[in-house]
Amino acid sequence: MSSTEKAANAGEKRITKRDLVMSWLIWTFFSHSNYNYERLQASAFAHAMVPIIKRLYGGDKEQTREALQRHLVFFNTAPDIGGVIHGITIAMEEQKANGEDVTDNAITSTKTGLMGPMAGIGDTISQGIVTPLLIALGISVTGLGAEAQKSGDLSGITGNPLGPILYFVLISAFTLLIGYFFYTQGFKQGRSFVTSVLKSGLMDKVIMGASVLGNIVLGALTAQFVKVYVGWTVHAGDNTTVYIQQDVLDKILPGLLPLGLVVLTWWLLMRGWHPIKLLVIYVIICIVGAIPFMGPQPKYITDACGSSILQPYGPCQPPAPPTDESK
Amino acid sequence: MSKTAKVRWRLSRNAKISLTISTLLVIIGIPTAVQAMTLTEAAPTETVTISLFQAILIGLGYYLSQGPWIAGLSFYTLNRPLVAGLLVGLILGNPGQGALIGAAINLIYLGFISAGGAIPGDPGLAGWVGTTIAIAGSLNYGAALALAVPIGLLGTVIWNARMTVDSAFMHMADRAADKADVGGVIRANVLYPQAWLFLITFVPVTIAVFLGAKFIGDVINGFPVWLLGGLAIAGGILPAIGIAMNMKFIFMGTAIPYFFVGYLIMVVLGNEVSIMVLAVIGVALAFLHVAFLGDRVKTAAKPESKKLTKAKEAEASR
Repeated sequence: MSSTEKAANAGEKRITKRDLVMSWLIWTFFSHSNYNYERLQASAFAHAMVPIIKRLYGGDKEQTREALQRHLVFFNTAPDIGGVIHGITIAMEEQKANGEDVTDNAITSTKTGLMGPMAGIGDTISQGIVTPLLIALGISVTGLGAEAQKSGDLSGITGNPLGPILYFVLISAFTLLIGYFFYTQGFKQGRSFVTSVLKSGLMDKVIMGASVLGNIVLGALTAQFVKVYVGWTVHAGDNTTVYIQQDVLDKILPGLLPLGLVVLTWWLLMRGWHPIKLLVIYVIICIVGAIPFMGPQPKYITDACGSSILQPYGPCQPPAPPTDESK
Repeated sequence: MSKTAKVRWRLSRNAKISLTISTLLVIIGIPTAVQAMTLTEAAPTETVTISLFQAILIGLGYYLSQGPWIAGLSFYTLNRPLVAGLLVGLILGNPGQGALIGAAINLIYLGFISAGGAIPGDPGLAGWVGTTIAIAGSLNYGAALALAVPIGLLGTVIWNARMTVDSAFMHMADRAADKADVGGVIRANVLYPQAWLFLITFVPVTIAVFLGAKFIGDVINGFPVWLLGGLAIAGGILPAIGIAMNMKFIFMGTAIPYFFVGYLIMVVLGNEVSIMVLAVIGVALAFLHVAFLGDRVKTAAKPESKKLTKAKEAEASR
């Protein structure tokens, strides 16, 4: 802070607002343009530094070379709030260009030291909480919940296109505003900004609050969209049919199976199961569960009641169709 | 002197091109979105055949969902099946249905998180190609979801091809930096990787959608009824994975009970609560929770960050 003022007083090289915004724009656009396994966002970082390098070292070939090389090292962080690192780096570059004792090592270690925590916080907030929340909002506006459950078939019904549009607008506004704020604050306030925010526990509070909200929405989504119906019926005596779904499971707790399935899936994921492995296993279970080995072949999709273990779209209706009784 | 002048001109041209493309997309996007509102009324039930022009638009859309041209926001927008579904629907003349199918497919990718460059399947490809096949073959809810899974897996191949080859452009950037060639670094960051990305996204998707979408839809519709029923069951079960993947990041510490609170609110009120009502309840509870925890929130959030880094390491190591 004081150093930038000093630089201004001396009438030396200063980063203008335009340079900073230009740098932010480049980063926002091209942060993942050349995303690669070797150094992840390294070339994007160097690209974002181009307006800064031109302002500070423009015309000096040796310094330009050094600056470009300095910023082509391994870098990976959250594209939005990670911009605070760019802001800090720009401030350090400005000090360096004005003759202060800022070594290459100091700049690189600041970048590497901050990129991990920023990626952790940023990915949790934007990818882990805000995106699913807004997606859930978009899905509900689209009308998937109510309509699709009634008919079970998507081909006949249409959703509300405003759902995706609403999601698009909200997530874009969130990402751009957060990104710009952190980029400029990083430059204005320097490293102290990040350490003070991290120390104050504000981020922990934000993450905790967002986790509470996120958990409520995930619970609701589980109830709305995870559907497991047992089509299995047991013939007890002459005309009494026990429907496992309604007569046993729903008596214990409505929706016991979906809730159990989600918690089980979470538990397996936490134990290191790969989601793709789970996807394959679940699809196989669904198909095996649909084999009609207990009764007649279904004539249409919702007709599987009583002939297979699992049942799509809804529970078996107590007034069972006569085809079920023929067995 | 002339060298630097040339470099400056090149930068501004790059910036201008990206800005122009983005502005054009927004300008085209708004009227089409408005048109979408009016189109919802018509719901054609006959099967859709995909013209070459439509296939090209879908291929282009998938490229944009991976590229930087939407202000770098494509990862959060066009890459999500919810948005991709709407756009595919627009291209095929049925935006309402596209949005609905996209919303359904998005449930599997609800907890999609790209950490350290490793992705478990590609929601973008699942959204763009999955919705196309679902509309072209008038598939049911479950079949569309079950189909989106292998398609998303194919997307991982494209992603790996991109991440691997892009490493070569890093070395071009190094060589440009050795010569203090600013324009060379910019070209290595934008021009070459984007040309490569265009090649591996636009070309295969356009061809696959033009030649294969109808065929795959027909094959699936030819399945026996019980198998279609099995896919429909999968439609109810697969969202569990999307939700659980998201839970991996937030179902922790003192926030755990709220998952069951949200679940019971929905079950007790019979699935009729709007998500906004739920969000308001959620914000209120979140505020109370943080206020009551006070400074203990830091210790409560501690295992969270540890688990997160562990999960990230596990993802990155794959």
